[in-house]
Amino acid sequence: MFTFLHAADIHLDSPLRGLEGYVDAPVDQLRQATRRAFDNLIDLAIEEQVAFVLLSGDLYDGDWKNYHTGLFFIDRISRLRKENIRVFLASGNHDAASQITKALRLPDNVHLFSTKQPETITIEPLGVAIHGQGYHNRALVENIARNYPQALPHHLNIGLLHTSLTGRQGHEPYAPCSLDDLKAKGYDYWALGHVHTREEVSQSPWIVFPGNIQGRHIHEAGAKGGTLVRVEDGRISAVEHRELDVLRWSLCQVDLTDSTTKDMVIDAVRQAMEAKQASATGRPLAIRLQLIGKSPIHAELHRESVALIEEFRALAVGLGEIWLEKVAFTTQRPVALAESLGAETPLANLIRAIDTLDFQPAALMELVPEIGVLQSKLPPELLHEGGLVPGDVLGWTDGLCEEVKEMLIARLLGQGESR
Amino acid sequence: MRITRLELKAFGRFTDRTLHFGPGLHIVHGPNEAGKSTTLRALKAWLFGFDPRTPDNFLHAYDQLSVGGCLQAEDGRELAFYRRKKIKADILDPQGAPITPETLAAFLPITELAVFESLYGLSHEDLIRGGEDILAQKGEVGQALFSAGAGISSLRGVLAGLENEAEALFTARGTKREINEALAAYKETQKIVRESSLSSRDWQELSNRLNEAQVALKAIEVQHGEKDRRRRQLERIRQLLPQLALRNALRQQLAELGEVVELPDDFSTQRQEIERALHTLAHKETFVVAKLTEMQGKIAAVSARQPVLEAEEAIEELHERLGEYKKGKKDRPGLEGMRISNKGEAADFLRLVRQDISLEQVETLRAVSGRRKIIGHLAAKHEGLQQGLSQTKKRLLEIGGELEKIDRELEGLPLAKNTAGLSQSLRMARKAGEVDADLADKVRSREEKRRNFLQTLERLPLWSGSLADFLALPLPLAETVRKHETLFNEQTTRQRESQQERERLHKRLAEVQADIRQRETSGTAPTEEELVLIRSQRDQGWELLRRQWLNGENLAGEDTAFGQDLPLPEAYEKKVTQADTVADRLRREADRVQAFAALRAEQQSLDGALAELENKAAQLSLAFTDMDTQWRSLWQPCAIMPLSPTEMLAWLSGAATLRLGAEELQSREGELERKNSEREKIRLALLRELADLGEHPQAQSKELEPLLLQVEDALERLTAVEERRQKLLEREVALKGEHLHANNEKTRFTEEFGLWRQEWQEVVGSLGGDRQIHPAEAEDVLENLHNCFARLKKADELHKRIEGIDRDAGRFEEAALALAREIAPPLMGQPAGQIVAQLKALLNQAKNDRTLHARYTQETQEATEERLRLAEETLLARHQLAELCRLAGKVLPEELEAAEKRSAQYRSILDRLRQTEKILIEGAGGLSLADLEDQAAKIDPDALPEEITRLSQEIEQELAPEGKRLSVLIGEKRNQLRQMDGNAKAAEAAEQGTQILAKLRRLAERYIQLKVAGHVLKSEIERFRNENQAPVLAIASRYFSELTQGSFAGLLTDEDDQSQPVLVGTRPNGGRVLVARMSSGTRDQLYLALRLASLEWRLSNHEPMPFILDDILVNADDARSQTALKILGELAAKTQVILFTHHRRIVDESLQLAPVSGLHVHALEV
Repeated sequence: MFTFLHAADIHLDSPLRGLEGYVDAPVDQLRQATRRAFDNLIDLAIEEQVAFVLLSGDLYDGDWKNYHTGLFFIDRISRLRKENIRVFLASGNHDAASQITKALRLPDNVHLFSTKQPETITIEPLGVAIHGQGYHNRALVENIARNYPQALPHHLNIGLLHTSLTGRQGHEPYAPCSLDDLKAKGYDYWALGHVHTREEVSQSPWIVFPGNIQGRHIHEAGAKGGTLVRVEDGRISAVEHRELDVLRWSLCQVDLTDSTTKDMVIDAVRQAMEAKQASATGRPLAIRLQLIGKSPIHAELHRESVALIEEFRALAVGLGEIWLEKVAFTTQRPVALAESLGAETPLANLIRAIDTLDFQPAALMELVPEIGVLQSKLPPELLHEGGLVPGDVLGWTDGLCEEVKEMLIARLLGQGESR
Repeated sequence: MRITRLELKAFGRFTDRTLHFGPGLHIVHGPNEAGKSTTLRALKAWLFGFDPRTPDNFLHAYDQLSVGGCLQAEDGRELAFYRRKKIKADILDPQGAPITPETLAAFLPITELAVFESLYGLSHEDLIRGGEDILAQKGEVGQALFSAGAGISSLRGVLAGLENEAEALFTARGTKREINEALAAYKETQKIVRESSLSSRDWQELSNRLNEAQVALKAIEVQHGEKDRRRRQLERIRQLLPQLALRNALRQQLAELGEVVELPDDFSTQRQEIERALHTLAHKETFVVAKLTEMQGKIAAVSARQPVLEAEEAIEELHERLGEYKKGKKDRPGLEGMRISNKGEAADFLRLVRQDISLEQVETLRAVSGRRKIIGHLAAKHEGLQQGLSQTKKRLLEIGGELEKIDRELEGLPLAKNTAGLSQSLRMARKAGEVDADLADKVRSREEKRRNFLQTLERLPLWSGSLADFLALPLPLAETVRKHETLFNEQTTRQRESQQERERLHKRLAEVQADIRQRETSGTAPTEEELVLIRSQRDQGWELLRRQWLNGENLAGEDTAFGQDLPLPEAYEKKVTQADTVADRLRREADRVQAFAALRAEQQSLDGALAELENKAAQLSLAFTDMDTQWRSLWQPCAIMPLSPTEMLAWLSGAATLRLGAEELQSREGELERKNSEREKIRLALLRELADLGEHPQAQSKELEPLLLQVEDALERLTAVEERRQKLLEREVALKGEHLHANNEKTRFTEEFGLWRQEWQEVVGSLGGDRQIHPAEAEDVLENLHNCFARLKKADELHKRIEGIDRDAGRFEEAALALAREIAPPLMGQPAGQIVAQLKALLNQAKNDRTLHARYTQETQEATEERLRLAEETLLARHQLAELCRLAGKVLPEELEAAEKRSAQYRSILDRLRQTEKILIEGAGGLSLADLEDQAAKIDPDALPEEITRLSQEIEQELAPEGKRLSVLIGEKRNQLRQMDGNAKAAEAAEQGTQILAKLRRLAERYIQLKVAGHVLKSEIERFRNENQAPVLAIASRYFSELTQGSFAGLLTDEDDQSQPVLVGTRPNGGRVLVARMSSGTRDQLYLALRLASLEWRLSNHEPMPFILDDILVNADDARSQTALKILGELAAKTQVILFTHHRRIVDESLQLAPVSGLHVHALEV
């Protein structure tokens, strides 16, 4: 009987995105998250006395050139070497793009699979055959799984592959292949990588995306970790997910349909945050707070958003080890703005004017040239995140349109409130 | 839409206060701030929902707050609804069912209070702010129009706010702006990332350098090693040269010594030991020979007594048996006496058992004696059986007696009776409760009620009679009476109103008549009729003149008729003058004329109205009489003379209460009767049961209690007898069972006794001979028989011992005589004991001699053996010496010493040679001696030091420094590589960078929002201006002129110095006034004019909405506020206007504006 550990998409030294620093934010708990998660992986391997570790690609972040990252990897892998734990590595698209990969000399307990053709390594004492192939360039679009050899008889066969299968949302369609392609090989376990969300694609045979070991932005929320596989009498007896992340991302939706006062809002938010904290098994949290529902207090929320964000941050600080990533004010008015303003009133006309405005970035820049000036000053990294680059405007138009409406209505009618 | 009703059902300090509105201008006046503001808040809460934190819950709790009212649309549809303070379903119809917001929206299309307020609400503060804002935006037309159109009084502030916030975030060249700062910070982190990053190439290069240095160092080290080795080799050879020479010399000496027999180290010691041993052996042999001679003499001196020694065993045995022999002789007479005494005792015991047999026949009884245990057992059994039998008999007697006693008692008890029926009746009666007391109570209470009721009935006014009559009265329904009441009320109201109206008219008529009289006394006023009359007379004069003058007509007396006593021209002139005078007076006294005419007209109309009223009053009176008759006829059947309907309602209610009382009384009677009959039923049942049991009732009253007590007594008695009988019967049954059992026992005991007797005879019969043995004596007989047998056995044993003693003594004497005869005949003839003692003494003497002989023989033998051993050792030593001679090269023993010396010399030389070679080998550093000699031979000893010096110099001055330099270099490179340790500095900087990016993103989004918002707002303002400028300004211009009492002629758009269209006021003389030059009051008026104009313009193509004003005229002077009220009055013709105020003055002024149609004042008195 033996066990092995399967992980993928480590993305060492890839920073956590979307977290804006503020006073009392738990900065220390978030430092070097990917490294510490990788340390957790090494610890787990040693603690469980695994026979070997499978890493299914994307060890590094493609455009990250710092060789220190590679040296860190070598250092940790050497710990496994002392424990006689072997490591099998099939490179992914990011690794193919990384300069670190090319220069790094790996210790002798690591086997890096060839990028030219599939390769098979057998471990006779365990009766295991591991097949794998890495990426030779960053955009691999051929179905390389098809070239993998058929299962070796009387062995436990494992396939290592960095792939998006037939396509997964938010992931490039690299090394495409179908489930049937994989099943046809007769392997016992397909150790896949590339998709950052854990998914047991199949249980017979086992086809597993372990997900990445550390979430890096709000779209990678939830528990992250590796997959521990137990083998008994040459058969897989158990497949367990093990949490390795040091920080948990969490989308925290709070329904304010029945909240009429600010105190009720803060109370509801506190309760929601506490619930999230309770489910994070002691890890620090990065929370995106999303306020939803047709709320009677919608207008007030928009008017006092800046003060409210401060209050929510203070709440997070009070609860401890929570970083409030963002507060999304997405509540709705109990009655739609257009209806509540009456027909043909100047404000209704204003709202209609905003509705008919062209929010395409190009049009906006023509309309308001200052936006172009700002854009030219912003770092390209920010622009690549989406939002301001022409053509890359996912979700930006609606948000802006609504924000502008709420902002103007709040300000124009706001002075009325003080009466 | 307009508001027709506002109901403050529960709000603030109001409860059920209703305000009725209609079209026109409504002024709601509250005596103080609270009343007015509360009502205004209530209006807002009703239309748009409650403020969650409304302060109006001090009298009514939050969940009780309620405001309602009614809205009316232009087409006449109405919607009445109420608002409660709830999150959902807060709009209710008058029945309390929820109404959907859509239903309300059909009347009130705006659901946002703020929007409604901005469009259709205007407060004093708004006015001030609006005026200030116009100043701030310097009269910019678009902003002013938009502000007024949307009802936003600080548009300027909003625009500036958007602009300033965006500026604070970012400017293209700024450094201190938030975005600019974040950009700089981000660049800084990027720099750190670059600086802390390690490129793979750097690392590889460094790694290569290290490798090269390591290779070079290795080469240097090899070279260094070789040179050093060479130097050390030469050094060695220089040191070993003397030893090499010594070696050669020693080898020479060995050769000179020639052939030498090398002797072992201990050779000399061996030789000397052997020689010493030979000498010692010779001395010992002499000593042994002397000893042998001495021993042979001593053996001859000791002789031996052989026959005595040979009989040693026989003598010893006899001597041992001597003691026993003597004891036998002494014991024998005592034993014989004891034997005889035992035999006598045995005969005594036998006699106690049987006198008929002798001691010799006693053996026949031994068998019985052996069964002693069985006999004991049988005896015990006998006793048990006898005891059991006697007890059983006694018990039988006792049972018989007891049974007899029970039979007697049973006969004495009375007969059995069944009491179940009686006890059940009793239970029922008890279950019915305290019937007697209950009944008495009820009777008492009924009597009291009856008395009370009759008293009340007597007190009933308007009617008297019996209870039954009262119940039969056909009273009219309350509803009918109420209908009459309403009719009466209405009629009364009508009469009162008519009366009041009459009084009012009379009063007014009196006033008018007085007025007329007053005016008449001050002179008759000319009338139109007068003027017409005089003019027609004048015209007639003129006609006559014309006819006379121009036509030359003869007027034929018409002129005299016309002129009366004046000629025609004068008459005409007089008429002309008269007409002018009248006309002049009419003109001069027009007011008076008109007033006079109005008064007369009013007098006439009052007279008419009064007449009509009188007529109506008469009708009303008739109607009233009819009604009264109807009313009285309603009560006819009851023979009641009714009072007023209101009073009769009260009377009816009293009567109804009385009827209820009567019904209750009746129901009580019924219940009483029922209870009585129930009691009787129970009593009869009990009596019947008692009779059945033969008991005689003691009392014959209706009451139940005495009977119940008697029944209980009887029951108790009967039950006790029955229980006793039951007990006796049970006892009888038990005793009969016991009697049967005892009889069985008796039979069993008798049978067992027979069996026992049989057994006893079998076992004991033989013992007594012809006599019966009783179980009680059996034990004694057996004991005696046992003792007899014991004594006989003892006597027999004693006899056998005496026989043994006699036999042993005979044998001993015979043996002693035989031995004396054989070895010491002289002893024969003495008693046997003496013979044996003397033989023992002889034997002891012979044994002493034998011991001495043996010791001497032993010593002789030992000496002989010693002599033999010494001879052997001497021989061995001589052989050893011969062997030594052979080793030393077959020399004679005398030559041995010389050989030893030569060998020692040879060995000394060889030792030194070996020592020298050892030094050489040690110093040669692994070279063989041959190689060493070989090398040494090749080297010139004289050049050696020089060569060594040269090598040393090469090593120390060239190779060592180079090696050290390379080592330092390697150390450095290694150190550098060690610093490339996989640290996270760059990664952390990148982390910080992303944090700044997140901030940048947020700020950038904010900036864009602000910019777009500002832009949209501005362009919307411009569009609004384009669409509305001309019509709105035209209206506003008029209002402005009016509001400023003509101080301004109107408004115009002009361009300021930046060519922006701005508003200017125009003076009646054409002068233009910029808003900045206007007084603040005027600017307020300007804003008001714009607001009103926007509203009026809006009304031209939108459904009207109520215009709600909050004390807007507080600061205006009287003239201006009057003008404003007038304008509002005009506006109210187009849409409902509601002005809230707490200033009495405004109300008074508005009341003075009588011509304003549809003005209504609502006072909010508390």
